[in-house]
Amino acid sequence: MVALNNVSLEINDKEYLCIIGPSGCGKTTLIKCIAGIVDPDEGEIYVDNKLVNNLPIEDRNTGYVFQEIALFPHMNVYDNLCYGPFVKGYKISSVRSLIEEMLHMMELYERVKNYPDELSGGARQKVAVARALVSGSQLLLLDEPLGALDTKVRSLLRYELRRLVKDLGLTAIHVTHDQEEAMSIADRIAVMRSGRIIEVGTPLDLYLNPKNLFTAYFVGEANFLEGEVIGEGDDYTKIDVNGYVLYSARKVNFDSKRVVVAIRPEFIEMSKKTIHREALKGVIENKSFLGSSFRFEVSVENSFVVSVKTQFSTKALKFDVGERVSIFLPPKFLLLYPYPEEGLEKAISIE
Amino acid sequence: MRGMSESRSIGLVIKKLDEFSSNRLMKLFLYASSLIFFFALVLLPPLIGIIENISYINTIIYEQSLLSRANSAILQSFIMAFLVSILDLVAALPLAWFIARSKSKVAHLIDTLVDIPFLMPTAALGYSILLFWSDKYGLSSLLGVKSLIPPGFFLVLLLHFVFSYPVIVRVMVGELLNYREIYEVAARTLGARPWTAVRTVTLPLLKPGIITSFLLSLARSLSETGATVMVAGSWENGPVFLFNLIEMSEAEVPSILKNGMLVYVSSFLIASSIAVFFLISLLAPTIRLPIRRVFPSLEGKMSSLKAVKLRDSFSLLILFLIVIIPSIFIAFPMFESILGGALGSAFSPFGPWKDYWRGMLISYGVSLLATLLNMVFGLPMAVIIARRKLGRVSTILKAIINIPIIVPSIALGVSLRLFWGKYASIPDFWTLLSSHITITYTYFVASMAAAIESVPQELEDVASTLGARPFSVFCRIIFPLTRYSMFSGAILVFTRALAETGAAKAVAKSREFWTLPVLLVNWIKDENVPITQKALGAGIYMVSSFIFLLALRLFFMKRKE
Repeated sequence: MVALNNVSLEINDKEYLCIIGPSGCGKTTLIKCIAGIVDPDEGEIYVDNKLVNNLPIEDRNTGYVFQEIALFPHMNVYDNLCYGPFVKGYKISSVRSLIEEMLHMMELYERVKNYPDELSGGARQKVAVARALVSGSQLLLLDEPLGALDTKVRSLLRYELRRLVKDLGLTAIHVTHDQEEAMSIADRIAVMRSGRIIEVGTPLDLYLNPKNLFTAYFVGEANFLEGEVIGEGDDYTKIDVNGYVLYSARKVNFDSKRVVVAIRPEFIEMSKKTIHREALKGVIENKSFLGSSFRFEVSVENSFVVSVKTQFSTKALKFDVGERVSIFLPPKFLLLYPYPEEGLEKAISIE
Repeated sequence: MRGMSESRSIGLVIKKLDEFSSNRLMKLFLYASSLIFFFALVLLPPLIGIIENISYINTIIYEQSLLSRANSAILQSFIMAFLVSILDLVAALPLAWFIARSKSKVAHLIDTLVDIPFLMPTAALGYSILLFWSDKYGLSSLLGVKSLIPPGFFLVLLLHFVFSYPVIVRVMVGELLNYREIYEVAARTLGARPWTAVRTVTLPLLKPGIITSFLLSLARSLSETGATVMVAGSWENGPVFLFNLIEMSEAEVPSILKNGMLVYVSSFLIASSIAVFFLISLLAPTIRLPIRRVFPSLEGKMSSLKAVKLRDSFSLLILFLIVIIPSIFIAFPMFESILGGALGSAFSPFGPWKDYWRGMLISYGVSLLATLLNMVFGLPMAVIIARRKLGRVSTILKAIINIPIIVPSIALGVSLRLFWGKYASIPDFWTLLSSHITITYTYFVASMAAAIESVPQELEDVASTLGARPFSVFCRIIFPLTRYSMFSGAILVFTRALAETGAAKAVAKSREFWTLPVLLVNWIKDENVPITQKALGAGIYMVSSFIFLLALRLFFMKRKE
């Protein structure tokens, strides 16, 4: 079993990088290798242009925030925060101002005498981050730091985390399986699968122009249709999908004629009337309310089924199951990938 | 056909029992009988035995020399127990660390070897240690001295160190395996050297385990009698004093004075042991050791690979030189006896061996009966404690079931002898059996209660909502999930009962009721008994106990599969 395979990743100074990927893909192993908790069998790790492979954990100067939080249960908040400077032999008086600043920043001043089991999940996570920061590390490694928290607390804390990292001028590597979390706070995102880094890019790049089929599937939601290239123009590609002709504004830069067409549900336009010459006719098979939007499943006559997402509106309310609709797949949002050798299902499988 | 009808009738019995188990009165009867068994047979007889006879103490007030000897013996009991427990902790912790953390195959081997002194009957262990350190047969002849460590304080220290050592290693290995290493890793990511991380994080978090192993070691040291008597020489602690007192003739000490002294020392040992244990259990968890300083450079050196290897080597040296080799040394004279043809005489139905085989029969009979009774009546008690059937009373019961293992067993034996002795119609065998039941009761109930507690209550609730009656729930849910603990608890009871010397000595009114350990202690103390006979006697006892345990283990393992 190989946890990491041929991983090559460069992280810029003061960058907030998120690593996402399905469970067991090697995200945590990767940052544990950087921290020195796991020794890689081969390869080299550099921090600040310095090879750190042979440095023990304690000399790597990386602040690690564990998924399990791992606050020392026999120490109160203040002692947990002091632990890093204390074990390095610093006088606590020399770091007192830093600790107090951290307590203020994290709004933990009232809780200094509390023990971990007396704190809420959010407060515990704040202490864990503060403890890593007080230890003086310039590189912060966050292993699913918000995983165990409620949705509300999680969405509040993630912005605080980013603000803190940016304010203090740190470099952060944040592992998460929550793509929304990664999208909202990362400067760049690395997508991992089966021990490999599939793609690295800005959140918007990965959303709009994913280079890899798996990225298109894993980041956001996408419809995948199998088709065949039947023609190319200067600024378009013509594809046959189950007898229907679709146009993509992207050029095919690969040899295969057999392709996978991908489009995000929110980019598909849907109307009761024919809205475009290339629009397809279909019937709404299913409708679900997602809170701020609606998700429809539309069956295109005698062919394929696509998901369509629309923002909540009075217009969207009027679409009902069984209703005939017209859908348009805008060419500029139609992504093209060569048909994978292992088959589409396997290529996007997260197992 | 016969098989089919048998299984049908078993099925009918189970069905009937299942129906009965839903009956409120049936449940009440089950729990009440288990409570009555505990109070009427385990807890109250020794307490009443002492309280009823407390007035005997008046008879010894003017016996200053005997009294000061008794007081000094009681004090020595605690000095020895504390000293041994501290030394054992210091020596056993690094070995437990090595076993729990090392990935080498050697660690597995060590893990098995460390149990040897625990599995050996203490009488055989005591004699082996006496031979190795003290007798001219052992190390002394190799070094050309008369007796390297003569019987007395230091030899008792070595003996107690050896039999408590596996207990501490076993508890601490379990604690270390359950410990979440993530705290240690977190400490290291914050800059702590491995040694600093262990000192400031791991050890404070392992405090409950350390306290438990310290208390277990303390209890064993305070209670052990038979082997201690063998190696004590003229040194006396509480149990040795009581043993010697029982041995004294009417001419040496008049029986009224003897009873007074027995009551005085036993009551003092019982009360002080209970007080010490409850004090430690209550106070120790609240103590926070201040961690004021770190020494990055020194602790860095102590964390180096070289230092770790040195520590491991030292731990292994202690294990082999002080624990394993002295424990198994008895094998040499035993094989010598066998090769010299002494084995034939051991099976002779005359002479000293006749007593020996009778002792063995009594030992195995009493141990088996005590195990069975404790299992039958202890199981409902374990349920009462684990499932808090009696609310707060269950919590109190959980604490007080520990009393029999806290109290020195010979003191328990003395009080049981006083209690049952007043009933002339009670046969001596019953007193012997009752003492073994009392001493071993906790082992089964505590291990079963812990095992049942670890089974989520929800599983029982789910089974009940699916229509299972209490008996079915027990048979199909609780038993399969806890049977290993049940069997290991039963083996623990049996081993402990088989090795018991102090209480057996205290309650046996005549040689007819001497168990094997009592007989062996008397043989070993008797200078007229030849060494070949002593070694062979202890050896046969040890081998028979190993074979019996192995057979039980194989039987249970097969059942487990």
